[in-house]
Amino acid sequence: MKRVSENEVALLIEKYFNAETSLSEEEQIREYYRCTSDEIMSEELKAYRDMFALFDEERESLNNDSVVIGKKSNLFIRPSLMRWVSIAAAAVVLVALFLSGPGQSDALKFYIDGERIKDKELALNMAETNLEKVNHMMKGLERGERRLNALVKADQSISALERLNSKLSQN
Amino acid sequence: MKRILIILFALAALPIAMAAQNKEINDILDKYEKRKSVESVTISSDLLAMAGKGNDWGGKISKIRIVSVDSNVTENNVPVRVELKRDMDELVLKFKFISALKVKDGNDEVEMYINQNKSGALLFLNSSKEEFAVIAMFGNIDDKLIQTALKGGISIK
Repeated sequence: MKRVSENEVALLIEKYFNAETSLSEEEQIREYYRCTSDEIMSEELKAYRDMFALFDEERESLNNDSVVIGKKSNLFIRPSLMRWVSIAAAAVVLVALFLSGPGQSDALKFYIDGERIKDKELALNMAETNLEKVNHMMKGLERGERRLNALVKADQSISALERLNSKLSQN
Repeated sequence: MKRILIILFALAALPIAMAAQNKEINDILDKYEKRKSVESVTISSDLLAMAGKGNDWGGKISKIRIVSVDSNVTENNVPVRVELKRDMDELVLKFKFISALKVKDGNDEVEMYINQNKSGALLFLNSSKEEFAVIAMFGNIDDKLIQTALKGGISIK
């Protein structure tokens, strides 16, 4: 079988997640992982090594089982294949989620009434006004907490004085 | 081998859940940002990196989104602010956000929800007579950042 380069295998993996690879192309991916050491493999491709190595092990175990089971092996392979298809589908969803998650778009966006306004100063003012409202409430809460703590301390001091007073009265 | 697989998938599940949660917050805010009488701003990681220099929250927040809806706007006789609040309430329930506090001062009210994680989110739902605003902060939501937020210390200017 023809050995594939790193770029080719990266493209094949992308095709794999899009469910567009042929059986021979999938074999090429597995072959690449079987024959390539970690030292020369890029970090990007290493991330998929375990997945394809596991597919390989599973295939081997299926082949061994099918020798023993004989004709019944089809019944065993189908649910197992379904499981791997589910895992592959989950992997596709995973990749899609990461690609569409926050952090991909780094532009400053500002909309008023559905119209995009390209005014950085105005955008930051709007953001700051909203943050300031929240900060004002939080600071008010903190002030309230400080007052409450002061009242608790005053109460503790008064209690101590009352205890001292009652002891002095007893004497 | 099956155990290894289960462990691998369990390890992968947390960041996926976080990514799904953040995506859903963004989807909700996207839905409202281009409507009439709505103001929306998204601040990038680059700008936040500059604004956060020397602040306690610097380097932790990767993105801030604010969507503010005027109280008078209705769609199909339903105030848009009510619709947005309902969407946010469903989201905090779905992704098990911690309801950190609710402060009321006259007609103003702020609710704070936390999903503490390296790629978590901090939500403020700010309600007043005139408007309803959602402030969503994404990033490394740790104890220090939460304390800074509770002290009213997150400011971009």
